[in-house]
Amino acid sequence: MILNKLLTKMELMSKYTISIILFFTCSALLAQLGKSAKDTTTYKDRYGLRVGIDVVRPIYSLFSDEMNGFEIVGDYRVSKRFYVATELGYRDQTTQEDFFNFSTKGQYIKVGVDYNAYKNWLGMENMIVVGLRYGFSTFSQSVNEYTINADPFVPVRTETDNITYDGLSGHWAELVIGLKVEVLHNVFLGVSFRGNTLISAQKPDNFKNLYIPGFERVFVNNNGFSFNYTVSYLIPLYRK
Amino acid sequence: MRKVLKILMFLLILVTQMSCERDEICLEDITPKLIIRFYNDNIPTEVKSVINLKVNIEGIEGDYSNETITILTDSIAIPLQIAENRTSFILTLQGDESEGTEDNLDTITISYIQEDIFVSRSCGFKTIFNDSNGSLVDDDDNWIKNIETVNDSQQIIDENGAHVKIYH
Repeated sequence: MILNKLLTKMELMSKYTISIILFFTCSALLAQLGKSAKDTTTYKDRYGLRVGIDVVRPIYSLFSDEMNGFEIVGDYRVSKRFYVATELGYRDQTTQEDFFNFSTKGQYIKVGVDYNAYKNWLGMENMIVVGLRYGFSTFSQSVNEYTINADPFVPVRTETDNITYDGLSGHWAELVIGLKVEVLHNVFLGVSFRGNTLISAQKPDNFKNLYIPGFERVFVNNNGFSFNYTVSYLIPLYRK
Repeated sequence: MRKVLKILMFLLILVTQMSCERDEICLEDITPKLIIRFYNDNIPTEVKSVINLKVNIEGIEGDYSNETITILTDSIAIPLQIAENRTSFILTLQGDESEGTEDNLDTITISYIQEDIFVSRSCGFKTIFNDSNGSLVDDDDNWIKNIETVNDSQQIIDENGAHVKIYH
């Protein structure tokens, strides 16, 4: 039942991802059609700071009691293909499981590099991003409610006293794969998929870090994955 | 273009790999049951089996039926109450009409202190029982002669061995 539900969810998710990718591919094509290649042998690439926000989370936060969060993203071009990239965010997430319910609250920072694997036409700045990040988060976990898992023959016991574990932290490594497409002058739409591996995390006494801000859901083998959809603006600084 | 395809392919594979979650099914041990072992009252080291045993928990309707209880057995596993810190079991040795014997009801009470322990995402929390003690309610015709825990301040943390001995 749960598996089924999850599978449909994943299906929807991948459908969504695929259509986003298609959308970006199409808009990239359109953008290419719109511009005529300039006849210049001394074309200089633009270098600058690109800042943006995650667009899905703030909208989701408005309609959901379970989640509250935002993420700011930024990158700075350091060479033809390399960018220094970072993400900063805050998350307050409540997760419902079969036998308990818990909230995770905290902030995170990710720093690393992005490599542009896409060979652009002259004057274009689209990206296929392959990147690495180091992530760090400080957070608190609180168990809001739990029901003891025991033989169904005896009446259940549910504890509703909130148990909070403060001052926890965790750090992890992240592999990033994504797209960034310039849809308007200096405005980029981005999508990225991230695979995470937890390096270490402070464990609460009688609980586990099942969710970490920035890392998101922590699976049994300490791996996880996440997505983000961003809109960002490029502040051009110089040409090289 | 080839590179692009390769990367997209990799992404797709990653996404599909993620769809199966290993931590969705609870496989770990949850709250342990009480394991009672039956011994011979005359020779306290000798295991003595019971047959036609019926187990009721005081305050809960219906008898706890488990395939190990109704057959000839020397030990039973029964759940303890988690909403309270004591459980009273009514152990009935069922009579046989052809032999002219009647049902014999005996009540035992197990008291304990609970400790809640986190197991995993899918299993949630279990409880273990510390400092457990057993006592027998006296009536005129007890088939149970004596009850004792295997250790002093017996802990019930798993189902690997007996926790309580019943002599009959």
